[in-house]
Amino acid sequence: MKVLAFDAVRCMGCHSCELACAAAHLDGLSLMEAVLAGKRAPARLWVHPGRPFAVVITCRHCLRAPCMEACAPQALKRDPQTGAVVVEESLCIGCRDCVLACPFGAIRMEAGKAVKCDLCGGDPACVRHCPTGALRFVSPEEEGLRKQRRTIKTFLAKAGRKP
Amino acid sequence: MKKPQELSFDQAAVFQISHAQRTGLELIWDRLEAQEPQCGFGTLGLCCRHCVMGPCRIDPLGDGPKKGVCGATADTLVARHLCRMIAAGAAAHSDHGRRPAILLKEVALGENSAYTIKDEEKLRAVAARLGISPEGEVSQVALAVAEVALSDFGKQDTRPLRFLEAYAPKKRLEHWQKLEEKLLAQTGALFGVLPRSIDREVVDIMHRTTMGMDHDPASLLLQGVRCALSDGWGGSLIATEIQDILFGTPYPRKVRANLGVLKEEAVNIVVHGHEPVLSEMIVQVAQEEELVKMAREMGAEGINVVGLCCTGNEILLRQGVPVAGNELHSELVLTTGLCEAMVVDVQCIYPALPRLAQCFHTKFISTSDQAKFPGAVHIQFFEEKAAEVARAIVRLAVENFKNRDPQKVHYPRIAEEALVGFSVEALLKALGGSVKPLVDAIAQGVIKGVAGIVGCNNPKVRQDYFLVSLCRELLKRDILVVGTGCWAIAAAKAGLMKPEAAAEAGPGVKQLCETLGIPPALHMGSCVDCSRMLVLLGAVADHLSCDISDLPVAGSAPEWTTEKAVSIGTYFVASGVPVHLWPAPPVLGSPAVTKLLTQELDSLLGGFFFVEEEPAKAARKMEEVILARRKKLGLG
Repeated sequence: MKVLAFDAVRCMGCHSCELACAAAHLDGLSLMEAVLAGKRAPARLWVHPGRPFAVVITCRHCLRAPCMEACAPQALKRDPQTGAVVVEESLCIGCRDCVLACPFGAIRMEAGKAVKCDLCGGDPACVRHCPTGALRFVSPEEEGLRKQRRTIKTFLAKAGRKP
Repeated sequence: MKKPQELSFDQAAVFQISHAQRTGLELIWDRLEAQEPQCGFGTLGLCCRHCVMGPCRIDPLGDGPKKGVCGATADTLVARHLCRMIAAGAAAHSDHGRRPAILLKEVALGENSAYTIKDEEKLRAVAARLGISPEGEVSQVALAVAEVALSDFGKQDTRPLRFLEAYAPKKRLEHWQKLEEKLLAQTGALFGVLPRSIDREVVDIMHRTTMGMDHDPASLLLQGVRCALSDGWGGSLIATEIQDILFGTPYPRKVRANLGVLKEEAVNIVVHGHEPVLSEMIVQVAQEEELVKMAREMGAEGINVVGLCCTGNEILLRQGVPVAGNELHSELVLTTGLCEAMVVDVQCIYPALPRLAQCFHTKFISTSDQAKFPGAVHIQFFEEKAAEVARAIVRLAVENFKNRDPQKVHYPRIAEEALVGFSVEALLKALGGSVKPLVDAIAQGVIKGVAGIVGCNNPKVRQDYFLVSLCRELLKRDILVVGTGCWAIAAAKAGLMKPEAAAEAGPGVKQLCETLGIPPALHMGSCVDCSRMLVLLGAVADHLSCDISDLPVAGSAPEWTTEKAVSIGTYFVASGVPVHLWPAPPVLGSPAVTKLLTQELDSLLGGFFFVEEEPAKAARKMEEVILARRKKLGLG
């Protein structure tokens, strides 16, 4: 299962991910149609202007998700395809327990229901719209291997050898 | 990577894009793909970089900021940005117009002997129109016309432009005057619609849109209107009229259009950009015996000058020079491997071109002090040494013939015939000297009305698909189509400018075309020549003693790209013509400004904008507009 990875060094703080996220959750309307219709659509990830780097906060889709454990009506479910923790709106009673349980602050309320990242069904809009590649959608295992290879390269370079 | 057929509607382009994709040449569509998805804030017009308290963005959907640091709202941001787009577009057209105006003065004073006045009849007609005595010495009349034009650029009084007063139809002029008075009476505030001077309206916008100035969307848009009018009835009109005086008024002639106009056995020189001043001279010197002889010695059959974009349109109309294509052909023409030189002046010249030229033997030659390109050979153009400069350019191209690599030559042998050159003068001649036959045809319902299609290619739209399909849809509906710029080249390439193409049109357009011996799609010139459409509209309105906003006409820029197109669209709307646009301009972030443009402008000016993505739907909407106006005029 892939996860969102954020590279603070690459983030320009342009908020494109936020707008793309909101636009990806417009029930089929285009961004332009939604704006003209005066529709409200909050983003499900947030760029915080930390210094010197911006920080993106969003759901980690934790493997042992406190929000799911806290959700009495079991409105929070795991999507078997993507591994995303998603809200089944019809079951959500607006108790806000999930908001309190989330250690990252990644769940917000909108019109009485919990709203959170759903990984866009496996092709996150925020990643597609990130102009610098600060947001990536990666498998943690592959990411680990990539870093191992990078580490080996660094060691070899220090030893004056070609990798 | 998209398939070539999805990128262009033009088979020559499809052939050439396939070749580029096979050989790994980077084209504009690849760069668009690399930019996608494009920024939502920019698309909606919701970002501002006018001061360094910013850059600011406004969140259109969520809980993010609704105001910039200075407090500007989405409405202000969008209106300010649109206003600056108009200023840039008007500046481009008008600065183009300034050059022939100065040249006319220099020719009149004998300070420049490289050029002459080719069309004395037009000079005297323009003079008469401006209220200058058309009698007497040519140089005297030319000097007087040039001085009125130059004064319209820089005068400091608040009277309307003299060119606008002389050319705009009576009722429209009154409408603008009354609108200014009405707005003052209603609001107690001053709103200007009539342009005072061409340069001033651009400066006014730059001033007005700087930090802490005009924040009222309607006020900003009306200044945009005023600036656009200074382009349409000012800078562009001056460009057209004086270029006609210096280089000749276009009359119908047969030409060929598309990449197949390149000749394998000749030295090919592509002239690209917008102005005719240098390209006219290149066409002239390329026929000189010495240079032709030199080309033959190099093993070529001769020198083949071809045009591209609006420089292409200028020499196409006046000299019958074949045109290699419109904007999106500018890279494709280089990929043929057949161009010894691409010579550019100003506007719409992709900065990608010199690097692409370096993949071939092609010399990419820039000539304008205002448009320089890293990687280009720069041969500075001086008007007073025009022939020498042109000769140096042609010589460089001829000498480059030996460097052509036959292995890299790959081109489609595709070119269409077209009958082009329908200046207002030429149209009137075809109509027998007056607009009456055209008016009668409309009044009797032979044709429903007239549509103007203008403007660019845009890689976001399948090349020529909208331009050509919209034209066909309108013709089917018995609406005659006129136009300029990249549309005109698209229509020529698609064969719609052959008189036989009338067979594709509805019965009324077909009948009219057969009677007059004209094609159903009429080439009126380059993008500054949109002014010819204004002049034609004015002539019809004055003939009927009505306003342009009463006439059954509509306009469209269905593949627009540049800020110039925003200015053109705005001066047509401000002159009383509803205008279709695709793609949507970056204004939708402000529903209030969108409403102003699509609805409220109609009650102020008798024209409005509308956006439509499908050619058939756009044609239907244009037809509806035309039918509604016919009904108002009491026509069936």
